[in-house]
Amino acid sequence: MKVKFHLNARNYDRALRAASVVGLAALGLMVWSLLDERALPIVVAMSVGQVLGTLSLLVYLAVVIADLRRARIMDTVVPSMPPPPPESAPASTDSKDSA
Amino acid sequence: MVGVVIADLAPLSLFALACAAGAALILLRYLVKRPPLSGATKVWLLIGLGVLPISSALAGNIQGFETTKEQKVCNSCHVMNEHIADSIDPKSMSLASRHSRNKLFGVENCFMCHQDYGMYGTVTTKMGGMKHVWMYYTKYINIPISESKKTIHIYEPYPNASCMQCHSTKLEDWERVVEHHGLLEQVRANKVACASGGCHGFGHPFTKTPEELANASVTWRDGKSHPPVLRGPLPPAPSSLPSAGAPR
Repeated sequence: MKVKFHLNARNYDRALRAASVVGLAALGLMVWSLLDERALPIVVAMSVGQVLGTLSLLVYLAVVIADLRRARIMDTVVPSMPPPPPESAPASTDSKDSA
Repeated sequence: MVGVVIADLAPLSLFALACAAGAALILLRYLVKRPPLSGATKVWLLIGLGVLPISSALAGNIQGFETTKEQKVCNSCHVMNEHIADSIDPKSMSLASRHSRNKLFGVENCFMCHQDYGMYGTVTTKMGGMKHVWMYYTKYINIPISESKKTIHIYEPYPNASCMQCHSTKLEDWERVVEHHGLLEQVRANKVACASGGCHGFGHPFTKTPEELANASVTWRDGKSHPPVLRGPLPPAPSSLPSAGAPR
């Protein structure tokens, strides 16, 4: 059975790093508006900053949900797989048989 | 320097900054260490991308809304520099300056007079402010102040309703002013401007031309010519005030 994931583990890492960078940018805008109390920084932080922050959170949630789904699918796929073939039975050494 | 800046910040700003710093530390640590996506990593990222930034944004937004009421935000556009300078000048006798001396107005003196009232007044005022910021950065950022006085005007004539938030027009002392008494209905109906050259003076008279100041008269909103203000009979003096020798 072939299971396709839109996000594999490598993509998870890439997406989360991108979300972290975007989140840092949003935090930077928020800090700018708090330290530089002019109209422009406040407007930018409350518009662009909010969008970037929300975007980073959504990416994080998407990755976590995809990872949880992957784990659930793996849990259902792995038990249904046929068990590995048993190793050949060792030769009997029962003394009664040989008697 | 940094200590001075931080000491000037409001508690809400400090809280927002602390949350932002915490979130930034978590995110930077994740970017540097690049740990595998274990349960602990997910929880840390939930704090770094969710809990702390949301807390910072909430506190920052509230503080931002409060900050936008202050005159320093208005003063950040150069076309408003003279308005602010006049309003905080203790020697100025302009209408704006006389009101700014009231402790209740304080550093929010621009907002106190120019805000819209009503349930959604703050929201509509902020939306108008956004329009101001947009117009400033797209149209007026490079014009000299002398030019801005001629070209920049408020969208609508200053409404008497803003004055009447404090001056109710219902006190006896107010009605005993002859001009008030003669124009009572017109003032309440916003048909004649309180902040006009012929009444209480312009809010920001330095923006007016010498001709406008010289020809100042009662400003009617309807644009028609009106006869001189009729001064109706004054109401009788209040009888409720006890005289000196009256029995109590």
